[in-house]
Amino acid sequence: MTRDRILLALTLVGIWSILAYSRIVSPLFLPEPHAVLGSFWRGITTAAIFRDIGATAARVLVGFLIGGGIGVFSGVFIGYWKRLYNASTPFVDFVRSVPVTAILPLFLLAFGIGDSAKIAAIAWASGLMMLINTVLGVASVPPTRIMVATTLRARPYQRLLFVILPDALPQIFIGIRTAISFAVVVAVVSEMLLSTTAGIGAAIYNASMMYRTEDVYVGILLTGAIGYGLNLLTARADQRFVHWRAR
Amino acid sequence: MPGPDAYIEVDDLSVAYPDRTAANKHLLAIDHLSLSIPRGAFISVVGSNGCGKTTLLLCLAGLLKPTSGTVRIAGVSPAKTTCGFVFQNYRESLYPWLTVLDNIAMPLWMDGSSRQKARQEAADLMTRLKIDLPVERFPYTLSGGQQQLTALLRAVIHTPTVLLLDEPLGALDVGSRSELRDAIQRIREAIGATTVLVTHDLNEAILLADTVVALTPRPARIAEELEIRLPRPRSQEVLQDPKILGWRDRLHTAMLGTQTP
Repeated sequence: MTRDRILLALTLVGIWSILAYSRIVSPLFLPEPHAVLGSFWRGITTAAIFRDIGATAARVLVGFLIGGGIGVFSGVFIGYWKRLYNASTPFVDFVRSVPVTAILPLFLLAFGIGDSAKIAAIAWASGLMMLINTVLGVASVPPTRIMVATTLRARPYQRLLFVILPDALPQIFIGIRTAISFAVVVAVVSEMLLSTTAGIGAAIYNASMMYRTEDVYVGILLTGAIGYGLNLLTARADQRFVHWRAR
Repeated sequence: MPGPDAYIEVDDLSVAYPDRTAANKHLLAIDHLSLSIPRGAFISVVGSNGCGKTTLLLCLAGLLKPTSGTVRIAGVSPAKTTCGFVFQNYRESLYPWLTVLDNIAMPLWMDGSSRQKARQEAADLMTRLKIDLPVERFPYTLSGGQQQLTALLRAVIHTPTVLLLDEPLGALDVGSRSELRDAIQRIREAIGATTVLVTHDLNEAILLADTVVALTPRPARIAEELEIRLPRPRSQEVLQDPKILGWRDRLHTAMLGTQTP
């Protein structure tokens, strides 16, 4: 399988090379591979690439932690309390249908153009993902598992800590995986829309303003690589921590 | 008719569920049922599907509030009694994030023991009962019979005075069924809990119990109470006893109700 994957990668780069070097596609849209590589190398030698990755990663991390924390906390609350769960369903569905980019101006108004507006947008988007999945996980604990604890006269906190939370964990992990990749998207978008000096989104935007397409490609490939890496990481964590999924 | 040495007393119990098909209507699951179970007895409750026998068991466990009437265990409300409960669906009653040993030990650390001490006690219980399970594995890797055995051990680790079994063999194949039936007899003998088994399998009911109570189709009332005077321990061969055939007939007629269409 690994060999086939390398083969496919080489084929894709091959097609890219043919299209670019033969000038079938203008370098304005599709720069030559060596130009992209050169731009990548320049980014490394000037350390600009690390500054951008660092800035984006920091925003993703802080936003995800804040949003995830709030999302899990309120998700447990909503999922546990049946009345609130039933009442809140249409609101949650409504709110998650609103694209975060539509709310971005509000964050801008509230937090200004600094980092806090971007972090707030990331926290909002990833928090909502975490909330929805936590609610789902908590609300769908098999009643039998709770009854077992009830027959043992478990206190409410024990029921929550020893039965409901572990049982919701597989769904919470699904939340973590979607929320993290969503957080990267929102980070890049907000960096493009809200002017800033550092960040992958800002780098892509600035490059495109100056028609430096090869720099745009470096940004795109970097974003993809980061998303891919995070996905591998969370998939590994999922296997490790929720080994009983689908059992 | 509460007896003098009754341990579990069910007095004039009725349970009604809201009817989903009609507003403001109720489905009567249990209809003025009284039952008294002496300390240490093994009672089987039989009835056709949906007759309300599980409802009765949930009331005994304090998991369901009766609509009227009372349940008392040693004179107090079942909600204040710690009982052992084994559900039919072991998949949804065991905790897949805990190893087999931790599943069995859970009632102890829930009650304040340290994890280590609880594990030790669980291991000791298994040695005492001569039960061998792959304790360090996760329950979903075990066979159905082994999983239900895990659930059974978890239900008795804290030596409850009442053991409630809701179709514990219902989801098992024939082989593990007889194995677990033997385990139930042995474990109960060892801990001496007053036991109520709910089942629709008459052989299983007769084989395990001192008394078999047959319920009518919904709403449940007591249709028949049969004392099973057979020596213990009982194995499959007991079912060859000629008395059994007559008992089964009586129970069968009783649980189908006299006015069957």
